Amino acid sequence: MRHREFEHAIQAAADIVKDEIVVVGSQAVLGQCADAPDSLLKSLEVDVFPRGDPRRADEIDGAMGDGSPFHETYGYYAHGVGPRSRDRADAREPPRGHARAAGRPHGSVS
Amino acid sequence: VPVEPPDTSQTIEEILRLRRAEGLADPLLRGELKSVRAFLEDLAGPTVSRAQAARLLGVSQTAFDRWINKGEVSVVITPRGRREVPLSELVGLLEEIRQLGDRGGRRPLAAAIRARHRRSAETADLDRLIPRRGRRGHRVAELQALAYHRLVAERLDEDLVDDARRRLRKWRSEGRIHPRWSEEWERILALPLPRIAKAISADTKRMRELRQTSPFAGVLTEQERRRLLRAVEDRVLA
Repeated sequence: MRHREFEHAIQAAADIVKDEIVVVGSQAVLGQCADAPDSLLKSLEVDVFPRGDPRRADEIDGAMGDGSPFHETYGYYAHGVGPRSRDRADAREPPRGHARAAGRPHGSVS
Repeated sequence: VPVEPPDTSQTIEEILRLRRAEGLADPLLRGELKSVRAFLEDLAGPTVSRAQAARLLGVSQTAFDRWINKGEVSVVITPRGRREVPLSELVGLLEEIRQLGDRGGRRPLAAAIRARHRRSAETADLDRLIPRRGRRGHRVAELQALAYHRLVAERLDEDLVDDARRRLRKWRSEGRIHPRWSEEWERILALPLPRIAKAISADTKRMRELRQTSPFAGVLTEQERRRLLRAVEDRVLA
């Protein structure tokens, strides 16, 4: 996933949930570093959740997760990692750690 | 105001004609027709504006937007922030309408969507799609991907495999997939059909990783896919 594709995925996710998007895991570095390592650029997936209401991560999964028309159309996708998307063992809290806010808070979609 | 290239509608018509011809052609010719279709699909672009899609489907944009808002027609958000219809979705709907022919009545799009619903009802039996034991060791997303691929495996034919190969080549040429994964998918897609079906349905750690870069995206209709995701999630989290 190139930097502009990463930005596209984050903005699309923000538009779906009308919220600010938090990127989880190593892909978060793409939002901060234009010269990201090649290994990151070759990933198809970015893990995200909405900052305001992490439970709505499922909506991102539904609209642009793996196997979705978004994935088929663009070749990359966003995986929502909110509480419902994870198994019971870690279902209570959104993931912590390498998280970073990205995307526009309320994207306008025409 | 978006300006449509004047020949997009014609290009889409030609894509439909080629798809019909592929169904009638022998394997060698089918491969040639698919190459031409791939060229035309690139020419048409990955998405079509809602206005143009509505025109081609014979409905007003207001009516079309209602179907979209109800989740019956897929749209994607483009890099420019527009909601547009994936070319594959539009072509699928147009094909459905043409197959229905006179049975589509006065509201062919509505009839096509009803036909999709009938097919997605077949997705209900999850027991055969997800493992009974060991669910707690999986993330929900992994079980969803497993169920998705097991359903794809049940429907697998040469056309679906060809499409997956083409998608993989495109992703690879655009540098979107790591060679480590693309090489493994190429190896799987070179197998005979039954072995591809078995491979993509396997509940192993390796396949769980590999399914995250699957070229079988877009095989199920959006109704089927969403229904499957919801059903797996409800079952696991119940």
